[in-house]
Amino acid sequence: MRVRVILVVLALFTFLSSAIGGYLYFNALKASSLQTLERQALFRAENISDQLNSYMGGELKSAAVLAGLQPIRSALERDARTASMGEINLVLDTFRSGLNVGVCYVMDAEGTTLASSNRHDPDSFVGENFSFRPYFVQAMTGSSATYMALGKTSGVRGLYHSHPVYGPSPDRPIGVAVIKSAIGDLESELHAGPNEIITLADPHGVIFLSTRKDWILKTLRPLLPDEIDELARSMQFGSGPWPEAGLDFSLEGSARDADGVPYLVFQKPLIGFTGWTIYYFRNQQALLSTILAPLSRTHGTVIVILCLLVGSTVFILYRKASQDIVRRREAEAALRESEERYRRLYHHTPAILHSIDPDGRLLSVSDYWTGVLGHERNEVLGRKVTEFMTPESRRMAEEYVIPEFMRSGFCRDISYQFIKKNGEVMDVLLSAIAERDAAGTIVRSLAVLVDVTELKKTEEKLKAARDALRSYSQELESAVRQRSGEISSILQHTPAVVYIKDLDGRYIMANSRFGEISGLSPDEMRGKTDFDIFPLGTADQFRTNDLTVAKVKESRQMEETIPQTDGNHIYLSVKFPLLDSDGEVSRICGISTDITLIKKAQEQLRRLSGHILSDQEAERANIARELHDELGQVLTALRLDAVWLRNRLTNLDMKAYHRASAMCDLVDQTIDNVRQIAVRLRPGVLDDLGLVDALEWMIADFESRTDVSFTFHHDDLPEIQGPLATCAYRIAQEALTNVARHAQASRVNVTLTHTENALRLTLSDDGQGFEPDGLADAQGLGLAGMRERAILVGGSLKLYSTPGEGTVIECVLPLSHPLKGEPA
Amino acid sequence: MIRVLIADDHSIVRDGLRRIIEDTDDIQVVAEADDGRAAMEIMKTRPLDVAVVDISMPGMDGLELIGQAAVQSPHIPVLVLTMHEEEQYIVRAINSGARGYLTKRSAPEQLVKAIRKVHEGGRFLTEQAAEALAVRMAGGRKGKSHLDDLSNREIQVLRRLAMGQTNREIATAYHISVKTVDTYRLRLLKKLNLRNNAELSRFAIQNGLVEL
Repeated sequence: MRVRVILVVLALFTFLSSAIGGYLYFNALKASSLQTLERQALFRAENISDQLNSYMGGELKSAAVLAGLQPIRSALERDARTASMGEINLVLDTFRSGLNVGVCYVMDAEGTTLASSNRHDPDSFVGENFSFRPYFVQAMTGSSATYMALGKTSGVRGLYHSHPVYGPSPDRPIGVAVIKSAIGDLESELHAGPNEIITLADPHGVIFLSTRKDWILKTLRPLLPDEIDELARSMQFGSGPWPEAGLDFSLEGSARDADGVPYLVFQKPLIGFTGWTIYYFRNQQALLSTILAPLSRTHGTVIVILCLLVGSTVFILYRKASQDIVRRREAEAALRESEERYRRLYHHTPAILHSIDPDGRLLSVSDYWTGVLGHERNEVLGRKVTEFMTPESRRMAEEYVIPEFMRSGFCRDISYQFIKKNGEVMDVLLSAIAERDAAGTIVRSLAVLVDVTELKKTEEKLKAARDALRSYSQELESAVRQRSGEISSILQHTPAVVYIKDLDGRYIMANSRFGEISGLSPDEMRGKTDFDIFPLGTADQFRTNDLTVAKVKESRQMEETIPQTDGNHIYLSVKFPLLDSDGEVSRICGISTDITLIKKAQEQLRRLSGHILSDQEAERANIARELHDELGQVLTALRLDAVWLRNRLTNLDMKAYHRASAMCDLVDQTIDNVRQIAVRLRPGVLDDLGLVDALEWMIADFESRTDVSFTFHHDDLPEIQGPLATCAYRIAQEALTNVARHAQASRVNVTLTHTENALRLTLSDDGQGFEPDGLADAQGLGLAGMRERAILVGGSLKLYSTPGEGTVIECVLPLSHPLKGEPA
Repeated sequence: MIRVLIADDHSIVRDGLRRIIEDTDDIQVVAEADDGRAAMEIMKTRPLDVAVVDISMPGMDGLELIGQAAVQSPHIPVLVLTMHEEEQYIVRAINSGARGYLTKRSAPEQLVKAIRKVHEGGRFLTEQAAEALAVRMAGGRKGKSHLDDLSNREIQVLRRLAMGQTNREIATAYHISVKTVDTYRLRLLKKLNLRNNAELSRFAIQNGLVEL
């Protein structure tokens, strides 16, 4: 910017100096031209003065000649009224036309006009008295006079030449002869140029002649009152008034007109007329243009070209300079920006940075430095960096690190401890490089500090953790040792067989109990397969089960048979896969418990319960039949007799009749009760008509006792009786009882179908269903009873139920299954 | 004179029945048997008009007897007289060839009427027996039918509605409420996709539930 201003100022100076030079040159030129012109004007004024003087004096001699002419004299000597006027008039006319003047006339001694050449004109003033005119007064004193005035009659400006006419006495004039020249076109004869004004003014300043017509009879200066009076009295310039021409003479030698046009003024007294002055006005502007016109004509082009040249040169130089400036400014801006970036980087990088001088004093610190250490920048700059260190660090820095750094200009990962303002100690790693001047002397450092406090803490923690881990692992090891000892003891003493095999079926581990069975020690078993140890069938069984577990990747429970010296033993084996770290099965582990005795007991128990059930059924059937057939028949016979009796008593003995009726009713009721009891024990339909009819009857019975709608579909079946029928019937009875009690069903479908060797009984309802696993014990017992019955005839029972979606019971019973102890 | 055989294993029952029959002039008990085999023997050898047979008997039981009698002496109509009130027995007996079915309980009032009826070549069934038979006949038909979806009770109600019984009458017959009967009726209409009782009647007739 400054350079640009300087350039502009220089350009201005150039312009100013050339302008001043030009101005001075111009002024010098103008002064010399003005001098020349003034000389010319002076000369011209003289010239005009002479011209006017000669003009003024021109007709004076003619007046003298006229005054001396006889006819004039004689006319004045004699009584005028008798004189020969014709002669005078002739003379006057001759003079007028001969001299080519305005008018010639003669006045007597009193000033009355005797004769005049204009006697025939409308403005004839013959007989008028002009004794007040100075030219008359002066002529009467004996000397000729020239006088300039406005004609009283004609109102025309005129130049009066008077000469006394002497009669016989030479002392006293007898009249005056006057020749008046109209000066109407005198101005044109002066040949005034367009830029000059020639003016003649009387002593009062009244302009009588002027090449500027509007100035005529105006004044150059304001008139005083007595002057106005005097002028009015003399009637020299009419009766007035005489306004001012509006000229301003405030400056010596020059004037301005009413329009403000400046003029150079030259004055010259008019000879022969006391006080009359010739004024020569020269238009100053025109004068200047007269001077400058040729100047600009000749030098103008040169100056313009010169100006253009100078201008374009300045412009080009200015452009060059500003380009230069812009370039420099850009460079400066780039530099500034880079410095700024550096500063920003220095301050805003989340790194602890500082610089020290060769004395170890801080020159600069980054914002992060102040932020981390807590000191203000102004309180640390200039102080030694070692002041912010712990004593040990300070000693190390002063004795070793800083001297070494000043020598090598480089240090790296020096472990220091800095003290924060709040007293905390901060562990850092300091790395620094040196900045050198042109001579290679280190002027300052740039150091980066890395806060490793946390790192150190973490390391310590890690170390503590490692120690803890070590002691823990020792504890763990001993615990493991103890536990594995315990497990070994368990494995050794458990009555169960425990073993681990690989996927090829080779034993990896087997406990001593297994050894007792196989006849091999656990060590001998290792590496062998079941096929090496057991008979083919047993080994096959094991292998199949192992492979199943390996395939499903889940724990499975199964029964396995192992032949031993005292016969086959049944084992309940739990087998489960052992997974490697990839989740793949790598081992099969098995725990087998000898359940031979339990199995036997269970079987006995089942047989027992089967016996109990069938005995119960047989008992029930017997009682039911006894009740129904024996007691029932007796009651029926009783009823037959009672009715017979009643009928006999009709109309004979009403009392006995009613008694008999009541007896009938009682017998009826008893029959009903007996029938109900019998049916409840075991419906005769089941034994008499078989399963289908029994189910049909039972379903109809349920339907009549509940609001549930039952349907029964069955295959075209042969009459099914015996334990199978009882089983199916009891299961259906239990199921329907449950439905009636709990299901809140509106429909129940019962189907009985068969295949070649099995009977399938399905009971489904649309009731509220339940969670099969969540059954209360009492209900569960009912279900268990059904299942037990199904198992006793070699069949199975499945139950499907979901809360809100009803229940389905599906029972499959084999068609030919011998079950002993069941009544026909 | 109608000659009647009474087959029953209980002598006191036989005595009772005999007394009822002896009160009439046109019926005479000409033979008695205490088991099925004996009864069959009598039916084969003696001139009889009607056999009154109990179902539950030792030896050859009543149903078996009816089956054999239908083959060996078809000219003797068999009237079943039994303790069993379950309709299954009725259906089975009629299917086996019995001409009539009577419970012992109703014997004093209806035995004579029944003997006469079967002797005339007719059929004797109590209202309950007739219904059971109709329902069973309808259920036992071959092929799929809307009836398969109906429960026993629904078929019973349908039959009675078709016979023109009122809700109240049906309710009384089954010891259920009138409202329940109406519920059955609406359920029937919905299941069978019918609009009114007239259509129900037509359906019942078409499916053989009601004999015209």
